[in-house]
Amino acid sequence: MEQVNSLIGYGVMFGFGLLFLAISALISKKLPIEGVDDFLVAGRRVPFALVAAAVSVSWIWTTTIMGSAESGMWFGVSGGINYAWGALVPFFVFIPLVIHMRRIMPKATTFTEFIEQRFGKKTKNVFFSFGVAVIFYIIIEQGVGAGIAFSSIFGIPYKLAAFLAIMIVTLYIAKAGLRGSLFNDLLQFFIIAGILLTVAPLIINHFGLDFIYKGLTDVASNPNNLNYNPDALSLLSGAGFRYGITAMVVAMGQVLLSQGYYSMALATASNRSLFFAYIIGTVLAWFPIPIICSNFFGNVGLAMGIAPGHGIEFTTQISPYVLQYVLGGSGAIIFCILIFMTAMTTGGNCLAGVQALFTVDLYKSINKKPDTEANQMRFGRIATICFGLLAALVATSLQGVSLLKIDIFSGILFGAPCSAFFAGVFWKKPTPTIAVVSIFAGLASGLAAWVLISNQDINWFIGNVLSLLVPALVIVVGSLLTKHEFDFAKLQDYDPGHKVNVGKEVS
Amino acid sequence: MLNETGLGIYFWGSYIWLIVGFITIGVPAIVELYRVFSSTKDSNQ
Repeated sequence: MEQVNSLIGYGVMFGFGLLFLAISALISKKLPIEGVDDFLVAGRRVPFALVAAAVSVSWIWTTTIMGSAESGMWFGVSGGINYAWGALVPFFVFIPLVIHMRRIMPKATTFTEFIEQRFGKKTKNVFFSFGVAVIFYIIIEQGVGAGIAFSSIFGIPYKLAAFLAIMIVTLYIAKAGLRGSLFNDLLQFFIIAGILLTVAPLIINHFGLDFIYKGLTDVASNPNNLNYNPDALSLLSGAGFRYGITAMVVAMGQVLLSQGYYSMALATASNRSLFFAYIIGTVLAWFPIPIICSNFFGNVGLAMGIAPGHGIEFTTQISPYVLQYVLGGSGAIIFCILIFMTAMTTGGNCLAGVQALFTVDLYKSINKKPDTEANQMRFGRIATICFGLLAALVATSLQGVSLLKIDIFSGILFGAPCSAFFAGVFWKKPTPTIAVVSIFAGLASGLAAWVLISNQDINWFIGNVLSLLVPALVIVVGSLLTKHEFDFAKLQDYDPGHKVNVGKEVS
Repeated sequence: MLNETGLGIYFWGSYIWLIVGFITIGVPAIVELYRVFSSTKDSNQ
C-alpha cells in the first residue's frame, strides 16, 4: 500500500482525540456528575437512541471491518452474513439475561455484584478476574489495530500510535464516565455509518455490479482462478456456516463478560427502553455493517482477482486495498479514520465497564470503611487510568505478534464462565462449587482440545465449542444432584453502599 | 447460487438496512442532543 503523509495521520489522531476530550469536558460541564451512579451508569435515565448508538458502535471492532471483509474473500457472498449472525447471537442471550438480572437485583451496577450475592465472594473474585481480563484483551486488540493501521498507512511509529489511541480513550472515559462515552459514541456512530454509506455506492459506481458478478462467477467456476471457490456465489455455503458458528462461540464470552454492555443496559430508563436500544443497536444498526464490509470490500476484492501475493500480502489488507484503489490517498485516510473510530468506541465501552468494576467491586474489596462517593469515584478514575496505561504499554510490545492465537485462546478462556453466569441468573439450583468447577472444567477441556488435537484446522474450533458446552453440562448434571435452592427474593433488598436511582419499572 | 439480480438485491439490501438503522437511531438521537444542549441544566439526562 502507498503511504500517506504522516502529518495527516497525526492530524487525524490528535484532531479527533482533542475533539473527544472536548466533548467529554463539555458533557461534564453541562451534565455534572453527581455521584457514583451518575458516573458509572449515567443516572439510569439515558434515552434509548443514545444507548442504541453506543451498543452498535461498541460492537464494531476493527475486526468487524477488516475481519468481515476478509470473510468475504474466504467464503464469497456468504462470508458477511455468517459473520454477522454469528456475532449477533450472543446479544439474544445477553438481552434476556440483563433484563432478568435488573428485575431480580434492581440496585446492581456490575455483573460481579450479582455474582457475589448469588455465589459468594470467592466465585465473584473468579468472575472479576475474567471481567477485567476480557476488557484488557479487547482494549489491547483495539490499540494493536490502530497501531497497525496508522503505521502502515501514515508511517507513524506503531508503538506511538497504539499507545496514543488507548490513552486518548482512557482519558475521556476517566473524565466524564459512561455519559461522556455515550455522547462520544453517538458522534462516532454518525462518522462510521456516514463513511460506510458514502463509500459503498462509490465502490459500486467505480466497478459496476456487472463486473462484480462476472468476477464472482469466475471465482465460482474457474479452477484456475487464484481464489477458486465453488461456493463463492452461494449464501448457503457450509464452510461459511461453520465460520458463523465459530464467530458465535468466540463472541459469547466477549459479550457476556464485558461489563461495558451491562453498564449501557443499566443506563436505560426502563427494561422496555433497554430492549429496544439493544435490538435496534444490534439488529438494525450493527448487523448490516459486517455484511456491507464483506460485500463491498471482500467480494469486490475477489471480483478484482486480488489474492495474497497478487496485490495484497494478506487477506486482512483487502478493505484498505479496495478503498485506496477506488479513492486513492483519500481512501487510505478514510480507512484510518474508520479504524480509529472503531478502536475508540470499543475501547471506550470497555473502559467505562472496567471503571465500573474498579469503582464498585475493587473499591469495596479494598476499602471496608464508609467513605464519600467522591473518594470512590476518584479511586475508580485513578485505577482506570493505571489500567489504560498498562494496556497501552502491553499493546506497544505486541508489534509484529500474530493475534490469531490470542483470539483463539480468548474464545476458550472467556467462553468457560458463560454457562455458570447464565445458570446463576435464571436457576436457583447451581451452587458456588458447581459454578467454579464448571468454569475450570470448560477451560481444561477447551485447552486440552486445542493442544492435543493435531489437526490445526479443527483443534481451535473444538476447543472453543468445548469451553462453552462442557460447563453447561457440568452445571446441569451437578445442579440436579444437589438440594441447594438459592433465594432470589433477597436480592431485591441489596444495598450497594452508594445512592442508586432505580426506575419504577424495575424496582 | 445467486444470479446478478440476487447479488444486487443482496448488496443494496444490506445498504438500505444500514440506512434504516442509521435513521432509526440518528433522528431521535439528534432530537435528544438538541434537548440537552438547548437547556441550561436538565436533570432528566
